[in-house]
Amino acid sequence: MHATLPWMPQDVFVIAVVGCSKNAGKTTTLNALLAGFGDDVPNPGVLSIGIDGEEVDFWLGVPKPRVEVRQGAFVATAEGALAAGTALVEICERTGGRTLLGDLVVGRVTAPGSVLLAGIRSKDDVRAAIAAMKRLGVPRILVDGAYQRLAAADPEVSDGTILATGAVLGTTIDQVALRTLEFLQRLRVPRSEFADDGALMDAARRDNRLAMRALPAGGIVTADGPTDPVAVQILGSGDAVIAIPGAIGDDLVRQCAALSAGRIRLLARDPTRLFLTPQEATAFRKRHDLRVIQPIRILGVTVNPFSVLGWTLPREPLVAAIRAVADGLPVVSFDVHPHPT
Amino acid sequence: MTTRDDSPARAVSGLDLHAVGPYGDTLGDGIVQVSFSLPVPAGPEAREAARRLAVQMGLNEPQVYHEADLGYGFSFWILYGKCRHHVDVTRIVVPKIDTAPLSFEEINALVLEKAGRRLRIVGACTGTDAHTVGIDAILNMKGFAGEYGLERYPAFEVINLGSQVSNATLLSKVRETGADAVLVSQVVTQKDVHLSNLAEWVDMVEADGLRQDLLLLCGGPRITHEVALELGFDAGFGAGTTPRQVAAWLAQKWVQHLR
Repeated sequence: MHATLPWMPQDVFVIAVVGCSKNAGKTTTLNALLAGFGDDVPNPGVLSIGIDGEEVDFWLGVPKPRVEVRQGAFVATAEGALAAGTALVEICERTGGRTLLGDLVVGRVTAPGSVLLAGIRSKDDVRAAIAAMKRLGVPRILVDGAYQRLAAADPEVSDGTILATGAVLGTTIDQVALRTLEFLQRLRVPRSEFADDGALMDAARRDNRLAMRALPAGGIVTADGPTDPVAVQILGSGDAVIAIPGAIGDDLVRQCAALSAGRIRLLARDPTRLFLTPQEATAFRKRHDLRVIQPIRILGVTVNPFSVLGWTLPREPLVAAIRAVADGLPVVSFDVHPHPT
Repeated sequence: MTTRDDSPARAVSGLDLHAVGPYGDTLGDGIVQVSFSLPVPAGPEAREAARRLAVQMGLNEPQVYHEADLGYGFSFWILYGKCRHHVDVTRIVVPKIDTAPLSFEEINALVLEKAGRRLRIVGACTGTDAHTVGIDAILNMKGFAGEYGLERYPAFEVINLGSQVSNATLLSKVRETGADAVLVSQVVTQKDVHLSNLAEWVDMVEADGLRQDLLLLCGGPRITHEVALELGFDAGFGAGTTPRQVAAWLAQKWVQHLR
């Protein structure tokens, strides 16, 4: 077990670190995880969707923690970004991706230090980097998300997700706890327990269209959207289940709800496909049900009491408040200096 | 901004690129000028406050060169001081737009010959943003800075959705039109709300499985290419960008994409 990560399960291979917001503490979390692996995982892999490990925040101009890697660790980054770190990295594989900073490469750290992780922008880039690391025998991989992007948390990309939250979300503990709760609710949409729903989503993905059936015993039909005549007929006839293969926004659920004569069970592939405002999600759930086929396995929440915008919240009460909204998830706060040099 | 010589090694002989500081009169003197207003009337206390602020800004030996009372309890200050800080230029990596400048005719020829059809471009000011001046300058026929907008190019079919377009609406339009590229304009604020909106847009495109089929661009007065890449876009265009720069990037990147 890891000294600082007693809550880290051993059966996760790819771990996503996502933030409730920019500057919530993703890099600090990443560094703590890398350090916490200790001798259990001597050569972890690390990559970032976006850019991480830069000396200063692009936006605010304030210093940021660097990404620190030990000898033997693996990194995926753009070849040109290697010069920006102090670690020495031996290139092992080129993933085939091209960036403005050169080829995307996976390399082994031959002398410890800091690294700039850059050049990976899409899920396909992430998959290519993970595949290369697997070929190199990397036992555990950390994927850092950019800003509050959730792409890395897609269960088809990562096996588990750690959520970073912190004082940057608000000037009071209550504000931070509320926004963290909203984010957790977005990630913790429950799995559908109906056996037929998986087949319905398969049909939706195969045709890349909305798939639906009338409840309790209608057959599967596909439609362009909720206003497609086929969909209107089913929604108007009573209860229905709808599978949506792609992104789901407020407009779509509002249309479904408006056309429905009964109750809807709305299925998303996973929580990263949901882009509902908390208000719309709450309104929809008053009458209908929202489920996913593949839930996100949330491993824990990390709490950063320091805000890069200039204020600090008391650590213990903040952690307690996050624990109260995290519904049993492990919650930790890593002990770091707020303004690294 | 005009760069006279982009090779820092040739900028000044004898300069240590590992520790570069401001230049006033002689190399290494660190002299800078700062100016600011204070919400207190001019006077000895305000003068000392200005000096102390300058020290906290990282300036040694701050000297007040100009002071003026602005009335209504405000004062204005200009100070000189010696900056205590240095930067290691050799460790700076800044991604930049790497496409070549092309003429109107070259852009049209490249797209129509290599792609064999017009590129369909959808543009919008998204979220709560109602500032369309930037996207209009790039997309509208009349253009900007003496250059035609993208609507004028035979190589492009432009759909400008205007302002305050939600990400969900934009995504619907992208699906409906089969767009090749999406240009999002944002007047980014310090409160990060627009950055959140841009990050959500990229996640939404990923969630819908369209990312590999689309070129994603963003622009605005406070957008840089670096920020755009960090957010997951393919390119970002800041203040002063002209339509032809965007058009040249689109044409060349689309041809690369086809390969």
